[in-house]
Amino acid sequence: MKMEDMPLSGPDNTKLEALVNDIYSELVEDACLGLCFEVHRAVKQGYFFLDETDQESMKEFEIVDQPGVDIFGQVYNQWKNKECECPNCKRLIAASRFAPHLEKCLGMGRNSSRIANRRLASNNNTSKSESDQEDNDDLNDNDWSYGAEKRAKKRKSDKSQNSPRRSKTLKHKNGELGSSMSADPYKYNYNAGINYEMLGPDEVRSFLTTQCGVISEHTKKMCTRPVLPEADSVAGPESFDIPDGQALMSRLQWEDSPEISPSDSASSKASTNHSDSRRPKKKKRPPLGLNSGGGIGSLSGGGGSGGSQTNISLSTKKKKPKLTAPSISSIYDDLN
Amino acid sequence: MVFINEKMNKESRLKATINQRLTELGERERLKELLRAKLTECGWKDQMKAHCKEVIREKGLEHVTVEDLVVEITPKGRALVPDSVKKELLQRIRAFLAQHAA
Repeated sequence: MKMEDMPLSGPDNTKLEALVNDIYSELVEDACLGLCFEVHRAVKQGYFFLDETDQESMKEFEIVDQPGVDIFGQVYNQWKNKECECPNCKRLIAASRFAPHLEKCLGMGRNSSRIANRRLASNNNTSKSESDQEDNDDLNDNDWSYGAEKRAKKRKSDKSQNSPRRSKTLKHKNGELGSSMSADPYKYNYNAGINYEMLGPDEVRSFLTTQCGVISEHTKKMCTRPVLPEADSVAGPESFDIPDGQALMSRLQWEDSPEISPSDSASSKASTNHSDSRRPKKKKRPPLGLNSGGGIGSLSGGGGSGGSQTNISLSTKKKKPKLTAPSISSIYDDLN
Repeated sequence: MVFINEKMNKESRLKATINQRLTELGERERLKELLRAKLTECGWKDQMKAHCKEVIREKGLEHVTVEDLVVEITPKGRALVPDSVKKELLQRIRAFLAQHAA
């Protein structure tokens, strides 16, 4: 460029500065002109004074510029500590909780009907089921699943034992899982009447070779998921915290001994792979979360590969409250 | 005299070149937009509009011309540009020159 002719020494620097200033002035003037044209057009088109009304309204809605108050003059958290009386139940509810409370109280909103139905269903089921053992097993199931253990403990500490919400949230979780699993072949059966103690061992066996049979603690429903052909896969060790291998074994009651494959016990990885391939859908959810209640099959799988020293990969997620003792020992025999 | 003219010619040539570069490379447009945005942001535009309203009320809504506005607005507008905006613009122009002229 021709700039080479111009040395950038002191005096010329000022020339450069002058140039810069010139350019700047041009830009500013351009902006001013632009504004003039805009205003002139607005005047001639008649919309320049459109935002002005009468003096009174202008005074009323003038912009407020005080501290602690927004431009409309409203205070920010004025309603923070106020309480409102619910028109339905006549209780005093905190303002921030008012809307959700109304949702539940009036029986509208997305979750309120679901929760109500669930509560009704479980109330019906609770009155029917008698077996203590079953309940114990269901309770024990809570320990199985990774997330539910924490969640159950957390929930229990958060809420009072008597609060109606306590079981509601757990059930809600359960229910949600049920719905999210709708894509899977899981089905919740309203077969609340099924009581394993009442059926003989043969009936139970034949019954459970075809269906999963796990009974949810909260809804008391039995899982009717059809038993999957590959018996070896296990939910995967990544999911579960197995507290105590032995206790676990004693709780686990496996009927389908033929389906157990000792080779799988070799490495938990193998079983993980199995589960990976077999149940891609299940992986998405926190499968552990699955369980507040009765434990859907993954429970059992986790039991096998997780911490237990035996590393049994258990066939399908079956869990039965009763088992014939000889079967258990046969399982162990195979491994040892 | 010839010497002065020559110098001036050089300067004006330089200026012309720079201006041309500014336009060619789109920098002029960018600077314009930047200035406009900054002026609106800092409230300069609203200030000027208020001033316009006064002028218009003075001159009468029907009879105001562009010239009227320009004459009234431009000097005030130039003066009211905040320092920060001015500095930033100058900085950018200088940077451009340094990059494309020196």
